[in-house]
Amino acid sequence: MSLRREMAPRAPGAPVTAAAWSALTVVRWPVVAGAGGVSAFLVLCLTTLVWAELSPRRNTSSRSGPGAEPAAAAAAATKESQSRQDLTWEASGTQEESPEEEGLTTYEKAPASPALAGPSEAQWGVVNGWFPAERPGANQDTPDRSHGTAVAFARSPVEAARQALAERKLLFTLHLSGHFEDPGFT
Amino acid sequence: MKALTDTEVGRYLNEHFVSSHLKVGTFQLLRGKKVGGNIASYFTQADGTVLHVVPGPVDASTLLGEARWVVEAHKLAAALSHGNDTRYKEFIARAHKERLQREYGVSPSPQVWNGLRTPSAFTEQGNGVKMFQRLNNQGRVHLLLGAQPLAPVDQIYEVVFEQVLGEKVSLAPVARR
Repeated sequence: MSLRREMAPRAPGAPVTAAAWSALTVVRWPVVAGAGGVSAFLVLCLTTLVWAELSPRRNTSSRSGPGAEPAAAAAAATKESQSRQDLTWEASGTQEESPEEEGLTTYEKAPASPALAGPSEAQWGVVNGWFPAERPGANQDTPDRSHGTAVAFARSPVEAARQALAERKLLFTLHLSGHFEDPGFT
Repeated sequence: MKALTDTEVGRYLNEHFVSSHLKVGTFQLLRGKKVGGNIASYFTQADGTVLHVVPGPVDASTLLGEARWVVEAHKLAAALSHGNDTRYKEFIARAHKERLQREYGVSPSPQVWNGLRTPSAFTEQGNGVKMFQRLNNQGRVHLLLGAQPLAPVDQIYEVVFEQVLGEKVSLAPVARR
């Protein structure tokens, strides 16, 4: 079937009427125009969405509107702090709960404790730059066991033997009457 | 013993020895005065075998001299014995015999030395104790250790305290009267 409809023959020079025109083709231009508009509208919407995804700040402000900017900024700050919390944990004495967080609390880092005051040299018993255990003749196992002499005595003969073996030294042992610790009894 | 308060003595003893003390006897306090009691200074190896003894209280120079003699004799004996315990013991014995002969003019025969090696030689009635009468306290030690070198301290401390020093071994507390 031919696309051209059968028409009555037209006299030469006679104008073509609209009906004749419409009868000449099958294409419905109003339909085409409508479809094109719809397509253009869809493309526009798609472009807008993509642009909105790529620019989130513009998207937020544009979504919330000019009157809700402070609340939006706080929400953004809270979101940032929450992301930091996921990575680190900070303990503090105070807690600030954000109403927008569900069950998560923020903590502030506690102030550093003051440094402990170390003992003075006098408390250590430092004399002339020597710590008690370092003084010549000092017995490092025990406090001063010289008993008023220039000799450092071990706690016991057994301990002395152990120490002599470890240090490859000889032993010097006093056998005496009385208690060597008491000056009046030797 | 005041010799122990000497800094040179203290320095030398602390450098070469590990020191300790042990109560083996007692004394009495009569009206605030000490009666009885004595002291013996043992130089031993770490295993308790006796190298030398200084009986009684001595001054700083004597104690230092005896300590130096022990250290040098020990070093020489260790160097010449090459780790042989028998040779080391023989060297120490010879060192005491030489001092007995040089300082006291006493040189027993080998048979006498053999007789003094028995455990009973230095008991109350032993021949060693009889020979003590010719010697002072230090000479008695050279005779004892020349005959029984490197004897364990627990075997000879009673001989030293009772036979050499004339004291009594006792664990009794100090008596006040």
